[in-house]
Amino acid sequence: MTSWINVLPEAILSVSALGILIISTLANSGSMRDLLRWLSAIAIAASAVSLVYTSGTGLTSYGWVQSTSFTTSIALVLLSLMGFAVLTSPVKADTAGEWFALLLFTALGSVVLSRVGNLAAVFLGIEVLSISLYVLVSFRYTSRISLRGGVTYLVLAGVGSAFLVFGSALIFATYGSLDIAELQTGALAAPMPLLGMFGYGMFLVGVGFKLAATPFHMWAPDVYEAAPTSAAGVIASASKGATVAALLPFAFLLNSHFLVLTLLSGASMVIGNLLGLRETRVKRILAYSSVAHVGYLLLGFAAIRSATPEALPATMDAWSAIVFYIAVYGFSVLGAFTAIGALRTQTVVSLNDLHGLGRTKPVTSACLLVFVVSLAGLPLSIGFWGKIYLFSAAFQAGLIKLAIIGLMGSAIGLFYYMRILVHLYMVSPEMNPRGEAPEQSNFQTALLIATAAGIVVFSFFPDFLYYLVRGGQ
Amino acid sequence: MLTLLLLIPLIGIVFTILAGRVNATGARVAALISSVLSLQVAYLLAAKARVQVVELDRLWIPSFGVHFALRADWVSAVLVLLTALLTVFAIAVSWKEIKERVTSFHVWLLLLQVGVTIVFLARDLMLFYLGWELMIIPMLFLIGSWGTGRKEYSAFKFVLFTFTGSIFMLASMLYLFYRNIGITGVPSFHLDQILTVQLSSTEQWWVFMGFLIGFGVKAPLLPLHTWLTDAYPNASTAGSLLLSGVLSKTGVFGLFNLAIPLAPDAFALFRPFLIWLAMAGVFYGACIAFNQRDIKRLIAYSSFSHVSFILLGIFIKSDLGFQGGVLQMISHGLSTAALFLIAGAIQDRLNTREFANLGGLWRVAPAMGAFMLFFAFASLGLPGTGNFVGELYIIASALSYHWIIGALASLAVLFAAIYSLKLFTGIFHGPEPASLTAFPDTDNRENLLLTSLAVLLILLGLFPSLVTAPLKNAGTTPAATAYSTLHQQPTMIAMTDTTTPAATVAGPREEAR
Repeated sequence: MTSWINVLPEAILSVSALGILIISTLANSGSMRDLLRWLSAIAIAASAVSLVYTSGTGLTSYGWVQSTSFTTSIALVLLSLMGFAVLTSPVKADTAGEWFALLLFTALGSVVLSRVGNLAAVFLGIEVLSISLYVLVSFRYTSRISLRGGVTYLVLAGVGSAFLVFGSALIFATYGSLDIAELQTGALAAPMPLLGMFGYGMFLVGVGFKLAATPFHMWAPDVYEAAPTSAAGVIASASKGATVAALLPFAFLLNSHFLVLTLLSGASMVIGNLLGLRETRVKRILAYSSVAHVGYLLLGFAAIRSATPEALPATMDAWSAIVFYIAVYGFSVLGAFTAIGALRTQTVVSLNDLHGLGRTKPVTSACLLVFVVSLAGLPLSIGFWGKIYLFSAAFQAGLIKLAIIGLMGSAIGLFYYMRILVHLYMVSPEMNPRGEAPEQSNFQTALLIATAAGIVVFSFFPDFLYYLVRGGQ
Repeated sequence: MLTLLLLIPLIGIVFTILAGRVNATGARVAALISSVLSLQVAYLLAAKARVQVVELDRLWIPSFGVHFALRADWVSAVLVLLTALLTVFAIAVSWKEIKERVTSFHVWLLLLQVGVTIVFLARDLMLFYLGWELMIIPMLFLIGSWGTGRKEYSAFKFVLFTFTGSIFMLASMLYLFYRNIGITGVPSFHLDQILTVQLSSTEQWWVFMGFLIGFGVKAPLLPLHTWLTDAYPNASTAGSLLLSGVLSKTGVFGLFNLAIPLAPDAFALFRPFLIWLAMAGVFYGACIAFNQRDIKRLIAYSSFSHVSFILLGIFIKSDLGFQGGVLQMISHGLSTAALFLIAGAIQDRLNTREFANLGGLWRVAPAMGAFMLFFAFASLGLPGTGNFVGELYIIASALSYHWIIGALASLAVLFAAIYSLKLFTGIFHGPEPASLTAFPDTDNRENLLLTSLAVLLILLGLFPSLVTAPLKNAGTTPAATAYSTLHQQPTMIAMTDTTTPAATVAGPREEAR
């Protein structure tokens, strides 16, 4: 049955985003900003609740939305990431309305992408997501760096979108349908014709641009650096997770485009980690790290060996490893960006700006330590289990060489993660060039500590976290 | 009791942080109390493990078959005891040396103890790996934050080497894990389960290489030792003491506890090569040690040489060699700890470690000189110390392996004598340098620490059976027995299922056809 109720999660987000724009015109104060923050958080929570209640209806809304408990799990993960971003992002009172509205639109794009039913929905979701992000990146429109970053992102993501649309058109020309289910049947029924191969190839290039997978990663460091720190966190976490989620229904492509996908994955893992080595600016380091992490996620994708599940399986396989990793990586990287934003206000943060903060701001620094350790995938952080699950899925699928490349990549990557820690803790504060630390509300600090604590505590009970990701089933 | 060994340092960390809020001495005292309590428990554990194996096994992460499985046989128990003892020493040594950020220093120290204890006790591969990695971050800070010289660089190098090594180890572990799933269908990292997996010789080759690189870095085995040159000398005294005394033993322990039992055929294949590598390490370390101008660097290389000697005993794979290896692990842990302690004391007083700026200290500090003389002799294998018996056992086993190896091993003792004497004479004999300022002799704290180390070494030298006797008893050291009699073991499970895990999973590619 097709009913408006099935798109309630999306409806709540878009209506409340517009509502927030209207409300924000009423007043222009700090308390208004807090009100908007809470309204946005409530909107996301409401959307999450409606997701749970409308879950499991299958393919609805003219085939645009695929609502199973599997897609609901992913959407909930993405919404919780966006909720974290909404609650922690620092913003000035006079621009709060736009900021939160854009974050809600980003959340909308993420939810659309996490439960796509056809190719048009993929395009729609990616555009909603990207357009909000263009604005978020260049949000400090008086700063040249910020504008340049926004334009870079606009142009390159635009190229990506062009590939995506043209690829979709070629796919439609081959199979006469945009529905993913029909495309899957078509792709599995007969060897793929050249036109289809080409179409899906362009589709993957488009997605590769959005994901910043090597060789389409060049924009990432510039954009991450130019964006306000919390916006960069959103690009790295929720936006990336949503794009991977949109790719998941296309697992049948592993039959025809296996080589392309493994190359994308391997190249991202190697290049992302290598390029990070010589970087001296923190946000660029995290950008390269996110390129590498896309490689790990694609490694998990390449390890998929079964049809899309209706719900997350109780045991760990490639599907659950990917969803688990989106959650784990998302919170680690978003937390890292948030912590950096809480340590330094300026847009460009070099490693030298972190000198001695381990002593002057011990709590936030300790949180950053935890997030960085989790990104590096060291034990005693949930990032370790995320990586273990992904790599073991790859081992199990027989992708041994690719998994070993990934392991080596993460060993290389450790170098730049450690550099952050060294600059944070092992240089005395006197070496620090004067930089202002932003004021930070207790609530945001508490949220940051709670997330860091979660990353450590869940590393002892990864099964329990997975149980939560599955929605407690 | 096993859990208690892990819990005490963790609770100690909490108390250290709380006490550190009052003042620095509070943190020191809290950490010291915690480490003494651990020592007590470790002693009780050793007393118990002397009679029978102490075990604990709980399923921890069901979906992945990770067990919280700890087991203390005699070898593990003795090494845990050594760890607890050296942690006490590390805290005592740092009492005056560490003046900045005292609380966090002790927190890292106790966390390191937890990691090492897990490594020595773990009976589950994943738990072992967690403990192994848990050692990295504390060590990064112990070297990088409280070290001397190019400390950040040294810390970095250490972390990169160890972590890269452990990645290879992890790959081997995951491979074994999936082979086990392929055979039994049940995920399990429990070592008892993994040990039943029979691998083909090619698979063993790869698995063994992974473990060898992982453990070889830590021990260190010859070509993988380059991080040591920086990390040992530039760490704080406590850091050097733990690195050489305990952390190097984790590498040796991993080799005979995991690598060799898990891939016996590959080990048999590599054995001659590994023996020569260890032999080369002994001489290489000794020669370079002699050429050093820095006390701590000299001790670092001598430690490298001695650990290679221990590895020689392990690789020879006879009962005698193994007993000698274990005995030498303990004795070397104690003697090298003492040497680093003295080097730290000298550096603390004079702010230099160069032989060029030292000399003639016997006149002003006879007590320290006497201690140095004793421990230098101990490290070259003075009869009456544990080092002598350990070396003797290893040389005897080397002789029974091949006379050339035996002869070379005996020659190595001579080499050790040369650099040990240089260490002593360079500091305490000869003319005093003009720059020498007031040099107080050892104080009561240092006397107490050094005397207790000396007593322990003599005790081991006079009664080596304290350590070695239970090694002969299969009831208390099943792991050791399994290791030394591997070649006689019958095949435990005939391997019938040769399908790889990947092939058993139906993929979309199959569906397509």
